[in-house]
Amino acid sequence: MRHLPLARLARAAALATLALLAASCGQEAPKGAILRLTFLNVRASAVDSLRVSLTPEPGQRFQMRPTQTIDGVTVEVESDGTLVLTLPGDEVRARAIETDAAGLRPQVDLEVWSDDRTMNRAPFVRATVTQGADLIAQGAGYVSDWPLVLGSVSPINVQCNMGSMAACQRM
Amino acid sequence: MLGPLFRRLVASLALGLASLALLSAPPRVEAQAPAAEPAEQSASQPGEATPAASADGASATSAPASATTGPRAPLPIMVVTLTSGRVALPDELVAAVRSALVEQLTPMTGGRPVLPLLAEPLRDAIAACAEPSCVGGQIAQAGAFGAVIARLSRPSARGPFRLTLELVDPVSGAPRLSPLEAELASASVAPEALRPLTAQLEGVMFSPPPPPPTLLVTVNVDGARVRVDDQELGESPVARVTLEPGRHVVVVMRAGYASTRRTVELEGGQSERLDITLAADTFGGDTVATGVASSRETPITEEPLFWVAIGGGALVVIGIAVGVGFAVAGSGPPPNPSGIPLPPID
Repeated sequence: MRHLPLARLARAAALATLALLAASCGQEAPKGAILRLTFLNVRASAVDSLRVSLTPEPGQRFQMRPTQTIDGVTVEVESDGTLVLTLPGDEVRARAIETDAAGLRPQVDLEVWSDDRTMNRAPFVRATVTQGADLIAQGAGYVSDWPLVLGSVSPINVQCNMGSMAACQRM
Repeated sequence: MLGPLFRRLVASLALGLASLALLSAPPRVEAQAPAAEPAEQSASQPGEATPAASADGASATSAPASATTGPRAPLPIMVVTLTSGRVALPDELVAAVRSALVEQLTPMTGGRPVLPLLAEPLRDAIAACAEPSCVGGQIAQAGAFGAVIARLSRPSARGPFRLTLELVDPVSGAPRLSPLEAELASASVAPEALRPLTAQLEGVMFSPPPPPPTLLVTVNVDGARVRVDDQELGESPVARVTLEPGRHVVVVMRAGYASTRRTVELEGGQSERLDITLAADTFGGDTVATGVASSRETPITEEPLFWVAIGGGALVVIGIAVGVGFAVAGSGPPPNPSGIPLPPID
């Protein structure tokens, strides 16, 4: 008889633990918005640096923030209010997913999110690939929605520049 | 955005329902208790199914009933008759010695039952013992307070039977006096031949069992119904009552007063008094009155309802705390999404 409350307490504790576990499932972070960069005729091995800039509509700017590196991506806001994400070549290759057998169409996803709920025009996105000092590929597009829609995908094609075909296919 | 919140709400609801189910479910231990009690009581009836008297060797090793769970008969003195030697002994002689010993020893024990050991496995085990501690261990395991061991033999086919009598302590197996010896010509003379021997045992016989406890219940008002363990003692004032050792529930009731329930635990030889003060029932309900007991009452921590209340209360507190925690967590801002945070646009 004296063990009965202990058994009840043990069961209650187990239930509480289960409930907490169930609740912790709800604490899982949602996915951000995806900037999907698809390289065309550019090998991932050819990338020394990838620069992705997000420019708001004229007259607007991203709030200044100190430069920081998040998940291997350097995030900074330039003086004109343009947000720049910079990935070194190794980070590009680490994130690259090959979508063809020749390796000329790698795909790199950048997951971003913002708690800015203001109704603004979606920022303009420009991606440039440099090899050494040369800009060898570039592409542009818009973020699909602003405010950002979590889970949305904004496709940006990054095309090898004319005259840089050899550099774009560097092994 | 509603997904995590919805899951938290569902988890909180499930926890609450589970808590309610636990609190309302009948406790399993309580349901089993009544089934166990009759078995203990029936096993403790004097002269009936006691380990020493049982013909079942398995029951001979069972432990005696606990004093706190119900009335218990005094532990018995066991009479063990063993035969040895090459010459076979007549069964009637063994039976005559056994019954004579039981008959002659019973008045000496002060109320302890004297029971013959009929279980052959235990008897064989005692006969096979080479050391006193072995014999004492067997006696203790059989639940006996001590044993009188009669060893019968016949040195020659035509000679008299030889009887050796020992009074042996349990556990140690130590004899209480030197072995007593006698010669028997036949079964018919066994009672007379044994009498001088058993007379010598009287001085060293085991202590008698303590007298049963008594309880006097007093009530501050006359005419109150007094009940002990569902047995009506009548209306107060009531006389002292003799009870079995163990736990007893005393209930006192009178119209216009709050009824009172007390639990007392009594041991053999105790003579206790329980003073009950009934309070006027001004609310017309059945509230619990205050009572002062001079006897040793059962502490509240040994009351089953106390622990049920503690357990239930703790469960409710846990449930509420977790529920509130979930509610607070659910109403707060959602966690940040994964990925690179972008600053707001001005």
